[in-house]
Amino acid sequence: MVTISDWSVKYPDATLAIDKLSMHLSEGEHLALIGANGAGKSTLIMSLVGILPGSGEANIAGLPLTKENLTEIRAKAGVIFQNPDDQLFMPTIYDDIAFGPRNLGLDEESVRHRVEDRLNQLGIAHLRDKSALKLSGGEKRMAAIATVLAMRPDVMLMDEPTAFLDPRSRRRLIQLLRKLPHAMLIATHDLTFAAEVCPRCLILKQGRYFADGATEELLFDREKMDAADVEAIGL
Amino acid sequence: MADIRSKINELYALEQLAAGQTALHRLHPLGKLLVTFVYLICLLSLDSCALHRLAPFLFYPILCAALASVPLGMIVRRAVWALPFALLAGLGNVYFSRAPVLQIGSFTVSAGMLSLAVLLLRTLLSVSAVLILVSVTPFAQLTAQLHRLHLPEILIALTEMTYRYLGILTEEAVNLLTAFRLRSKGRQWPNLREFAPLAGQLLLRSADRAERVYNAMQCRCQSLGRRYVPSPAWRPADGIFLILGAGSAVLFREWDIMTAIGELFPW
Repeated sequence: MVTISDWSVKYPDATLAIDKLSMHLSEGEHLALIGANGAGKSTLIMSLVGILPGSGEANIAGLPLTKENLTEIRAKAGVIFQNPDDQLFMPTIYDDIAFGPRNLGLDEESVRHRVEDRLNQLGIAHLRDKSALKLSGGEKRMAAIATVLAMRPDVMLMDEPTAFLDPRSRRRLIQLLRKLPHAMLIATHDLTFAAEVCPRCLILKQGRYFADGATEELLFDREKMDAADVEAIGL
Repeated sequence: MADIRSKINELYALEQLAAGQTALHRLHPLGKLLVTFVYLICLLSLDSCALHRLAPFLFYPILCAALASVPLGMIVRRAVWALPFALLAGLGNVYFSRAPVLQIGSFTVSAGMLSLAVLLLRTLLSVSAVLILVSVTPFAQLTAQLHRLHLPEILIALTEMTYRYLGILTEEAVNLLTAFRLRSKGRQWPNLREFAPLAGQLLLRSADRAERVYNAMQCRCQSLGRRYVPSPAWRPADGIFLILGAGSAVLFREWDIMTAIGELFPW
């Protein structure tokens, strides 16, 4: 579903944020992207949908990552931002969820169906006509996920999805993500969350590949996690 | 800080009102856009000293607000924000045009004062008309209509981004101000020396945030020249609204109804 090979991302100030990274995410697989602050997790996600330019080879949802394919790739690869406020910019939650399908050129009836389906699926039908300004952190997160699911993506790229969530909302999110059939690449600092949602994880250190393997082994490996500047589970 | 927070909520309250279901809300956006345009042209092309000619133009915002169940006070409170700019522009007239035109008791009204009053009232009415339009038409419908009128896409995109940026700017300002107040021993506002770095921070932070919002839009396939354009049907009610709205504005522009009424009832 997502394959990158020798993928590098350089910032305008010449900082190499991702350095020749190769990875593969299979259909329906949930992969956690782990790393300390500045390891390049968010940068990698933004580069996979062409928001940040990268070099090397990348294939997203069956399409090579090129300028010509960007619109189609963005329809197939949904991004959940770290801060849901960045993602909710329309006057009502309905309009926010409808924003993507409308940009895909769907007629208003199809848009309405997609929006209603997603609202019901996530149990947030009561938020339909509310403004994002009046929602709680957990509600905002669910609404942000609905905006992406309404695009019917093949793969979901998430940047710190548990940020701003209280324990109950976090638990709801875990239950939801475990049920969703999409391939997911989830950048997170929340290792217990990663262990519950993702069977496999990839660890980055200073923009480079550091390790990958089963979460239930790797995230509990104190020595390896210390070397990656990440605190292992159970300490 | 709750007062400022509530201001943020208020900022987009008009847009929330646009989701209403009154007859005015259901009208075609083109009709509403054209009536507002004609109203503005007629209002702004009136003689700069004809204060009495503005009176009939009061009807449009008052009537629309009543028909659309939009609180008139909310419209006026927002329209008042534009008055300082008009005041600055018109103050020069008060100084340069001192010829007396009216005597109210012992107070002499000069041509400059009269033109300033006309300018302020005209500004209030113009901004109110635009705010009424925004409060009865969803913003997305308005920009889609501008697209159908073949306005340059970059202009429409800039309008949308500016509109969204206002909210982001306010939110960032509130966060900065909160942080300032928590560490300033009860002072509510920064002094001039503190203001400069705060303003710089505000600009940088809000630009950063605006970029993230724009990225989120791009991730959901928003791009220049590729816009969802719904095409609501034009109904007879839209034609009637257009004829009545634009027609009355032209009528009040061409015919001095207040003088006519004064001649009819000379006492």
